Amino acid sequence: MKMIDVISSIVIIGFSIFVSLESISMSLGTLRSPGPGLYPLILGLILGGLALLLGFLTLFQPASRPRVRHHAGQVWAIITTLLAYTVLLPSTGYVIATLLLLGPLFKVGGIRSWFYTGLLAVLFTVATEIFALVFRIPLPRGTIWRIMFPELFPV
Amino acid sequence: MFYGFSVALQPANLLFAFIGVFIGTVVGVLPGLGASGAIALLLPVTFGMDPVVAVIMVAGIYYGTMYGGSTTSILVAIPGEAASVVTVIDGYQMARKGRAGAALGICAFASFIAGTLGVVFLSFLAPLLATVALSFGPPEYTVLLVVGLISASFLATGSKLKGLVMVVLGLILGVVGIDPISGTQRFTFGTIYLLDGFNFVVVVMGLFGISEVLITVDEGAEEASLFPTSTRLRDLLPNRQEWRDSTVPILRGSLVGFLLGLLPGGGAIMASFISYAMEKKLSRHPEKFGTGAIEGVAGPEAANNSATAGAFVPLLTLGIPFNAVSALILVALMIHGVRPGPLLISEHPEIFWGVIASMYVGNLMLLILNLPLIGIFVQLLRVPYPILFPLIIIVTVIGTYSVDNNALDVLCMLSMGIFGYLLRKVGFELASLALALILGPLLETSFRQSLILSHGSLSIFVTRPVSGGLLALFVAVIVGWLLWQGWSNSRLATTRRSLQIGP
Repeated sequence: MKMIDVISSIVIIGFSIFVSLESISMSLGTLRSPGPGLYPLILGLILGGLALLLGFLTLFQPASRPRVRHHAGQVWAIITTLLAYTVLLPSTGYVIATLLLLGPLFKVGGIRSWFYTGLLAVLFTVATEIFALVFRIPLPRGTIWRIMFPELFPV
Repeated sequence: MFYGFSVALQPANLLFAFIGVFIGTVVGVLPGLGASGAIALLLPVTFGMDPVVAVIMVAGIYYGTMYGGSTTSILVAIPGEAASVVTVIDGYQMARKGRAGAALGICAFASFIAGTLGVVFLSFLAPLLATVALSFGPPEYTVLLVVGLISASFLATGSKLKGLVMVVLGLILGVVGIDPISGTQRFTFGTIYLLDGFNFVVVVMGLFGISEVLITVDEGAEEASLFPTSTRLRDLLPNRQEWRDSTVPILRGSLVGFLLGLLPGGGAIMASFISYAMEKKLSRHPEKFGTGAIEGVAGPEAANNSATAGAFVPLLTLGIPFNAVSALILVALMIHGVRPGPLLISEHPEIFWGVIASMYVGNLMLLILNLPLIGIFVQLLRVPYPILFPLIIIVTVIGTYSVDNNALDVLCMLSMGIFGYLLRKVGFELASLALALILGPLLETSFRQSLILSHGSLSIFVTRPVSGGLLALFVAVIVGWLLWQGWSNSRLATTRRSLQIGP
């Protein structure tokens, strides 16, 4: 955990350097007439200072117990599934993308039966679709839907 | 006031107060929909109504959302409203310990008591406090926000230094977009999506909703299903000890919330986290905060509800709205030919006192409406987590998409979720970041306006009486706290040494 703290401090210092350099490239102006870069430069410098202090203090602290990771693989499976979902959503639309999303999510959660996985996916998709209709939330219909039912999407 | 009650208690007005409160609670529970959006959508519905009825309903939506936002904060760690971010910290931990009902119950009671006290303050202090609110200029705002954001770092249960890092990081994220003064693009990397900066709702749903799911799955989704739940009535409501622990925080939060609600911008948000920081500071057991301390729920909830009453002061007495919701209420009044301001009491007393009385009635309705729902909400926790978390994800996706109907928002939410997950893995907490993200733009604008006003002199923050007074008070509190810490530590060391000395 100590090494992780040191690494996170280094990453934050790197980020603060990036912010500071980007800010300098904008107009800093003067104190009398502050430019757009002044405020983020101040923040970048403060962040760098805090991260340096954090890293320094971490070196003198005893190593804390590492957080035990149980299911990192499942976490990355969820992330991958959600990334695929965001890619599919505009083209396939909400209903198809959500059906495809929920199956892997239920499997990751530990539901073994394919029947129940499919049933829950359909139920959730229908329920949330009705919910969106009631509250008039226009969910993405996707390119496929637009091609099949062009009359629903007048130009 | 009696005249106001005679107006508010008319059956039609009662009905619309109930409708407003109900809609507000639902809106507050649902992430992605906010009070401003709900009021904007319902404004056309009020065109045909009597002005008193219209304002009563709209006001009901406002404080209904304040309560509703805390429900999802407690149950699934997703704040339904910006002012409910702080409630996540201890409210969710209470739910994990099987005290979800008590947390929801104390929210309902705290909201009722604070709303009632807010109405009392409003009735007697409105004209005086409006004058005070007007004396707040950019330097006062800058100091108040800096003090508030440093206090926000104390929201962290772990390292305060990490809390400060999160505050600054949140401020930096708030810079992304178009500079409000010069129009320069900052950190947009040439993308159109980032021109408006990060949307708070999208960021919060990712940081809190998605990251919480990832963390819980990481720790074992099946074990997460074992949130202890009970349906016995006495377990659904706060017990005697919890009431005792909550009473003073509710009273303090009500006062703090009302005073901060007078201020433009994020009055309710600042009120909730300043109340939290204050309760943590004043508590005899600050180590309990972050693990399910009921004071950490009661105080902030009282503060954010009382702040809604405070927000009405400048609106009704001066005709100046200090936040988006007040602006919409002003629009609702003007549509009906009523101009709030110093003459409102004399020209339209039925509106002024009717609105104030309806706030009291509305708070009572909130309590009556939501107490029976606590048992239903708590049942949500009995749903096995492997079934619940996909539903949480889908609801956050819908809530995110509903903001701007933009699929890129969903990608942004996911990115924030991963970012939040990684931050939490290395021991950073997210509440401070979220609060700094909301208040950052206000801080920058106030700071730059102050420098322009003072022709570049930083002494403006010290020489103006209100800002100088705030700074002096803050420094005194910090010095006092450091001295107290030093004294406590030396007493502890002395006690330990004396115990080691034997006969």
